[in-house]
Amino acid sequence: MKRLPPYPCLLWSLVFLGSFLFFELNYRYWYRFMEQYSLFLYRWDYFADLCVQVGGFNAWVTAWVTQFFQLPCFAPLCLAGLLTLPGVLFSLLLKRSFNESSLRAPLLSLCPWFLFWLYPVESIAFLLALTAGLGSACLYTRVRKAPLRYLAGFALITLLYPLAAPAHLAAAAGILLYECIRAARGGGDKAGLWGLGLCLWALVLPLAAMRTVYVVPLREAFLSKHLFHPEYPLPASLWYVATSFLAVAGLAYVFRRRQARPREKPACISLLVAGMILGVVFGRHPLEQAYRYDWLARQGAWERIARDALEHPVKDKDALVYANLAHAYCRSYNEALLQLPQIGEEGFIPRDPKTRLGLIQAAEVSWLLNHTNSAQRFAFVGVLSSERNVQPRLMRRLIETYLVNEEYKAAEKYIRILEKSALYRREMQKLRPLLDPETASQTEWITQRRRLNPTTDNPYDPTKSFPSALAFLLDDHPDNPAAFAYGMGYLLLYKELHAFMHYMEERKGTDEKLPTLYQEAICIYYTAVENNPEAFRSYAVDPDVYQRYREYLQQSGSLSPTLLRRRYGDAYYYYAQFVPTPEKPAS
Amino acid sequence: MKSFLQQQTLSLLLSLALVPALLSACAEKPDGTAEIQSHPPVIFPDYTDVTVPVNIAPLNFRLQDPVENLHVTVRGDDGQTLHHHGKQHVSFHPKAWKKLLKGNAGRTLTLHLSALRSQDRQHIAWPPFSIHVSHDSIDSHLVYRLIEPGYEKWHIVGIYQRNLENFDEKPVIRNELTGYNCINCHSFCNGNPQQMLLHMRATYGATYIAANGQIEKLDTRTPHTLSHLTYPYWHPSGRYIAASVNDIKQFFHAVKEKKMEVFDLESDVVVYDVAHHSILSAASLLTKDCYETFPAFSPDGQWLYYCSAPALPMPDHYDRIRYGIYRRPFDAAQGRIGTTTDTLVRADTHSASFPRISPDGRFLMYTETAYGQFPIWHKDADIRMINLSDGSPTEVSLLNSNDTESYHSWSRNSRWTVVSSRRENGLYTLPYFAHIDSAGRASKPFLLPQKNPDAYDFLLYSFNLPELVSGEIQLSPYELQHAATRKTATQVDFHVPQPSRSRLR
Repeated sequence: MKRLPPYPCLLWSLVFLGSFLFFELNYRYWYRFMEQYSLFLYRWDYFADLCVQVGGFNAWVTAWVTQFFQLPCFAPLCLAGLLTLPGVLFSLLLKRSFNESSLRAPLLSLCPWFLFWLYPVESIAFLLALTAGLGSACLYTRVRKAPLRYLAGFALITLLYPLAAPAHLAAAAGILLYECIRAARGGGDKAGLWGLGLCLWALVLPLAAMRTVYVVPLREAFLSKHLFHPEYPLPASLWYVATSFLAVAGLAYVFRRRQARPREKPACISLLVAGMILGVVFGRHPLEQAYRYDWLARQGAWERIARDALEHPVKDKDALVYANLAHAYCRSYNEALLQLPQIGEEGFIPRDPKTRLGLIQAAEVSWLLNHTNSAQRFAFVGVLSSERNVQPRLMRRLIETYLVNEEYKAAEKYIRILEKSALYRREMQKLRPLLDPETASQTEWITQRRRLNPTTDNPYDPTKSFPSALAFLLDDHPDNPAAFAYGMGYLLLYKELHAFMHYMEERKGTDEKLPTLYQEAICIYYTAVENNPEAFRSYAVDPDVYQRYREYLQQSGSLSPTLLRRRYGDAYYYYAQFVPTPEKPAS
Repeated sequence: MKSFLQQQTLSLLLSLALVPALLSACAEKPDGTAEIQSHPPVIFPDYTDVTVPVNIAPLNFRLQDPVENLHVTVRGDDGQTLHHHGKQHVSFHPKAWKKLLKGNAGRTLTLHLSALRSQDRQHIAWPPFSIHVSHDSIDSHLVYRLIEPGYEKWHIVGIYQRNLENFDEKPVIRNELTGYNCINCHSFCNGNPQQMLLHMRATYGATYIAANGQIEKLDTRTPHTLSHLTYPYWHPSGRYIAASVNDIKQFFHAVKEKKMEVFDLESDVVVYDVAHHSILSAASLLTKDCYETFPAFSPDGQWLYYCSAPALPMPDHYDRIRYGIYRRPFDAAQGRIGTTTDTLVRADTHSASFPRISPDGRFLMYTETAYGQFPIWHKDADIRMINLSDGSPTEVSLLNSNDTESYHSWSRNSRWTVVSSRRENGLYTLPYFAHIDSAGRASKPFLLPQKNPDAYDFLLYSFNLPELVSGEIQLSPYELQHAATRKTATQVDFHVPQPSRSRLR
């Protein structure tokens, strides 16, 4: 095999580097999020179960590779490699087809891979299938003798189908391309026909398999169910990618004889570098912050979320839910409430969640609020939202909820499953002893949660009836810290001061130090609602807080709105008077 | 060089000679000095002292204790023996197992287990346990829906048929073929696998009736009924299908003792005439003051059984509603039900659901729970049975556990029942089989055997609505898919009988 000239090597090295940077800087957390929807089990039966499905071996390899996406830089390196390798193979295929070194073939063969920058794939199964297909087509072109080559093509397509469908289609397309161009160049009259025949075989094979081996719908028979979530429509990007390969092959054919002009190489490389820089700089995932917070939440790094949310603007609803949750977890919720861009109820918990991220958040919020049944339910539905019925992070949450609810057998079932995975085995070893009721009852986090578990039954779903569900939690356990923080936060945000004061009643006449926000709310309540300004003295209101409130009352009529905001924008009375109340979601 | 070759050949021959010796050493069964355990072996599934049908697949199991060099001897009363050497997993050769059961029908198999304990490599043995082989065979196939024991979302659902005489499992239909819709309520006429009904909801929503190789797609919602046909039951003639129509709702509990509640805001029982595509008002129970549900015909077709409870405002009284089991005479020739009502199970302190009459007409099996009619999330739900000749309860306590027992169905010979139970982990429903003797006594149930019992550990689906049928369903999943995706649903009408002329005069 001749060594590749330096020019293509340079191009592909740039693609690898650019892709690595693109995915590392823009999609790192998204791929870590997607990793949760795969669970590789070190079991023979797991391998066997997958291998009896269309393209099952590819799914097995995908799951094996995906489990390492949690490791730093692994996903971007893997993605970059999986964009470069099949790219090189495609370039090689074009070169072999034209049987001449063309300047434009390697350059053109770059184009389809940049579509993966525009439309990043959720699973690497597609890229693996493309690699297998193009690799097989390249292998096919190595066989010189015609009848033997066709036989090899037949064998390769037949083998690729069960192992890595739709790799067989990629291989067949590559073979067809090779044979057609050979025929056009006078390499054999029947070469094109043979290529066509093999291509037809690749199309007939799934139909035959559907009737004999597999019971699957047409889409899965051709593409397998492992490339994309089988319950969703096929993404348009699949057709763009497929079309781009054909277009590139056509263009390569058209330009095959044109010689490179002087300075064309540096111009191409400059163009490529400029394009990649643009992609890296502007290709950020729109929910990057939310996925980053999700990753931190998964690591239990709540303090980092809380800090980040105060230091940087919170850009979307999902990130806001995590920011609120992090502050509630860190007991800094009351201070942070008005510093975050609150949007109302949906900033506390997703409303009737259906998305994967929404279900994780609902499970996380319910868990923090000690609404164990809801945490369990959303974790369960979140597991089901995975196309493979597995979501190790939420399965871990299920185990925790079962332990709290003393459902040891159900907990054991999930422990047994996760023990077979590489990355969760150690955690499961820690959880397994808790299956002993006595050990569980002596474990602090379990006893604490059991103590705060709801005791009054009610039908309120926190994602649909958030205030009612919170009210029940607080009535059962007023000392539930997260529920109390969320509850008061909700009431203050919606300016429901009567209800807020109902919960403050227990603090009356005590020396309990109240958060500044509460003190400010108490001040304004007695001034504006009760018209009894001195009644605030029943509570432990700091004299400085009251003094500032008095100053605010004196200056609010005279200061300009900008100045007033600058001076008192962080105070609850300013919020109560000047900031519009968020709308409540329609029930 | 020559001597080297000779040396190599000699060592090779020696190695070959040693192989059987080594193998036999590995599989060496413990000698008479084995430490006898005080308790029977803990195995999964628990097949100790169970009664099994003569045609059941091999009862492969796993020893729960960590051991090496496990040696199992199965001795039949007829003198046949079966041996197994291995680690913790015990699997029997299907042919040898079949022969063993055939030779011991009506007799007992005794299993002797001994092994090398992993911790201290001490030879240990357990007291033997028995498996009783009944003369009575079980229907050859079990049809069930595999579904995640979900709350409000289904994902991948399929109805499967499992050959109970071996480990073959085939899909009847999977929702991958029909746009990931909900597929449910498969039901068979007299356990005939070629005459079945199932519903699809959401995409391609309709009721599908397969009989004589044809599939009908029906839109069963009418302006006079609450909903589509829901919980169905075939008349033995195949002419009628009784079904409930329900306005079903659900909510989720906040306390740890309960998970969720499924209840009816309203429900009625109707009878569908298969031949005329109509719901017969004269044979239906459409009342506002009672909720009727879960109908079932008697095996002779002369009675319509159903559950009923006085209507209460729901969901406020969800935990106060109690269903009893009643029956009314059914005139198959006229398509009418009689007016007299027999009370079979009174709803005093408990609520009853899923009435199922044994094909010999002698017993009524049902599920009992504290309240409501949907017991799958009720841990207290148990199976009960009464003798229909005198209404007396029969002894079926062995069928029950500390966890939920819910749906059940009978074999054609009335000697076997399959019961859905959550006893294994409290979450996933699995099918357990039990022998019912002529006096209505149930034996200890056993879990559906699997080739590798570990399959249950990693299974993330519940076995829903296990139904015993007498053979394999011949209908291909693609035929059902074709009916769902290509056929137009026939609209079912609601038939109100016209007054006769003589009465008009």
